[in-house]
Amino acid sequence: MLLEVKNLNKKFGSVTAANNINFQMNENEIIGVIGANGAGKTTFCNIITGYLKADSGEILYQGADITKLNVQEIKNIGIHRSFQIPQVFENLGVLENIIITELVSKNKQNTLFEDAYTKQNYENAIKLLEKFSLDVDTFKDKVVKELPQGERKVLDILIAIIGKPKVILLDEPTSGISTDEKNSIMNNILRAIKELNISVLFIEHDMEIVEKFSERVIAFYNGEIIADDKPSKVFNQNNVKKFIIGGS
Amino acid sequence: MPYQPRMLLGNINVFSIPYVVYDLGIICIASLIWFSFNFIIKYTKIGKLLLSVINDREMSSALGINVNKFFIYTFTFGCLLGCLGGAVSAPMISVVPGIGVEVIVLAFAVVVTGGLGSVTGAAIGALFIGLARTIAIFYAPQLELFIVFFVMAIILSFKPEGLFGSKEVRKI
Amino acid sequence: MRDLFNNEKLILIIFLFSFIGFWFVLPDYAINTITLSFCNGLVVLGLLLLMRLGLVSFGHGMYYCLGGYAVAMTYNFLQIKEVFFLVAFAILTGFIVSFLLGFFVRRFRGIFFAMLNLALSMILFGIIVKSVSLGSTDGFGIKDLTYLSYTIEDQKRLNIFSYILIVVFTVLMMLFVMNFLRSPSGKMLEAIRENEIRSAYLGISINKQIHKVYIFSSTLAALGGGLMVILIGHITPEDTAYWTKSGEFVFVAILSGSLNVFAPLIGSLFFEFIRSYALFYFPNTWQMIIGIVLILGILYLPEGIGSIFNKRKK
Repeated sequence: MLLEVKNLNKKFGSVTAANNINFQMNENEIIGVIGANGAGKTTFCNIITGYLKADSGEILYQGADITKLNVQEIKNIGIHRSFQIPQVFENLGVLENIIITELVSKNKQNTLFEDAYTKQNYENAIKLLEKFSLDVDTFKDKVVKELPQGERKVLDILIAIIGKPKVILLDEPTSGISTDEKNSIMNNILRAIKELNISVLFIEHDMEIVEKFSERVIAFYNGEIIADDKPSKVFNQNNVKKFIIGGS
Repeated sequence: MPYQPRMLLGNINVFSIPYVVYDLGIICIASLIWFSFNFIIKYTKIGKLLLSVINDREMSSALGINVNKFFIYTFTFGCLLGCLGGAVSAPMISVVPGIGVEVIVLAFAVVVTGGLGSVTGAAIGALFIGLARTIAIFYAPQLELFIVFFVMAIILSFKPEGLFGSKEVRKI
Repeated sequence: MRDLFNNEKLILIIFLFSFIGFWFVLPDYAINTITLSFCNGLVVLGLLLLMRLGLVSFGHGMYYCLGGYAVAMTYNFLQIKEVFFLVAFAILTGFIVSFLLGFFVRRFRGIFFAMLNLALSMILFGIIVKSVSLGSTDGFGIKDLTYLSYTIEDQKRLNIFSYILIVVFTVLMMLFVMNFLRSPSGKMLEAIRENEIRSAYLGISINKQIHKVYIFSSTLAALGGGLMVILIGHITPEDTAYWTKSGEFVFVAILSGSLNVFAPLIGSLFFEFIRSYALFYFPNTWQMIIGIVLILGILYLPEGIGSIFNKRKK
């Protein structure tokens, strides 16, 4: 078992964002998370990554209790994430974003006597862009704030993959990306992730994408997990149809 | 006897302590402003639009609020209050060209102590800082500014966002 | 001109030798102003580091004061006259105090950080003014100094030794800061300024990084204060820990911008010369001139004096 969540509870005032959540994740699994807005999906990610503290419950990672660790510590043991609203360094270049991420992942936070933006590092960053089958010319030599939302999103995910994560949580990886591109982008991301043996949990609203890419789906409703199974089974479950997908 | 506008309204006994009527008047003006500010921000359309501009500038302008206009108005209003503060306190202090600088440092201390963006916070913060300063002037005049900042540092070390400031959790 | 500035180390060497050369060319009052603005420039250099983090301190005068008092008190109480020891004491004091206070201030950001530093510096001011053993409002003076056991008489406070000492120390610190900003460690500052959430999720320990930069920055300020006492020979709390001095540092820091390490020094030189000339020619309106300079600076050089030399890479 890679990641295990036991009896997790979280309330924001009178709103229940997580109600007795139990969840397990195995190695190399690709899990899709569905649920209406406000069902507690992002809160779930935030609690696992230590951004929010749960009211009660515990989170185990490879058997060790990580409930009380902070964001940095959880990142350092191998759980990375991307964000619904891309969190990137807006005023820096794309390559600089990647270089800084790589430097941190190589544990060079306190390294003083070498240059950060060397030719070597730029080349590595470009190689990384190529590895994700991204169009290098659209990315390099650009400041992040000049990029359209969709490309920022991709950069955000790319940054999350740098380092050696065991688990990666993608928060709506395809929101803000045009319908035609969704498939190819998810393909590229998941292919790269699979090569690295990373387990993925991704939150997604597009049911087609979820059906196509996930091996297992969990459905959130009002802070509870109401379904947890193979996609075909979850999509046919009555309460999932009623509360999340819509229709009868 | 020199012209003293502060004394023109005479004295009044409050619980047998003689008090200058003018000073009471300032307290009244301040409370009135505090009250009307809270009212405007909470219950009028302008106040709600203002809050939306503060919270999300881009979204507000997308909704059709003239954000620039709001900036100009709030800035003007802020300056107006600054002027009013100077005008009503002028009879109580000696007016010299540099008083603005002393006041701004104190004002910053008050705002930070009270919490950013809170009218009530500013009022309570001003009371704290003002009382601390008065006590300091009475017992140890050299320590006037020292005490002000000492109080501020103590409050901030227990409540880093100020007395009435709200902790910001960014949506991610 | 802008390409030239890509090779910062070369410029720094030219900078060093031209200022050493100025000693033989310029009149005494100009040299005096240059030396003083180098001492202040070190504090502004420290503020540049904080600005790279997205923080401003309204109380850096505190460390300027601490450094100065470290020199003056070691001289008076321990009778140590060797300049290099005194400077080392200034650095050490700045380091220790900022290390301890760092645990407190590193939790704050923005205006809270700025005001808290102001509060701390005013508290130091209060302590000094109140205690007679710390010299109260009179402060301390120092007299003869030895440079590696070579004694210099009291009257010639500005001499070739003190001048070269200050210039060399300043350039050395510029070199440190320059290297630091280019190193991986220095890039963490940009990351934290741009996006704290992402930085935390990358695994950067934000509070530790801020603490580190705070120490670095404050130590620079303390060194500036120490050198200032060696130059002027006297220190009072009003000229250092009082908030007007800190305000002046922030003023110069905003005027200079944070684009490169030369900006703080040039900005500081510019400020000191404007002030001395404005004081001389327009004794009653010199503040107005300083104000106009700042407005012009913000309007036409929004990124500060540094942007004359190199633009931020687009």
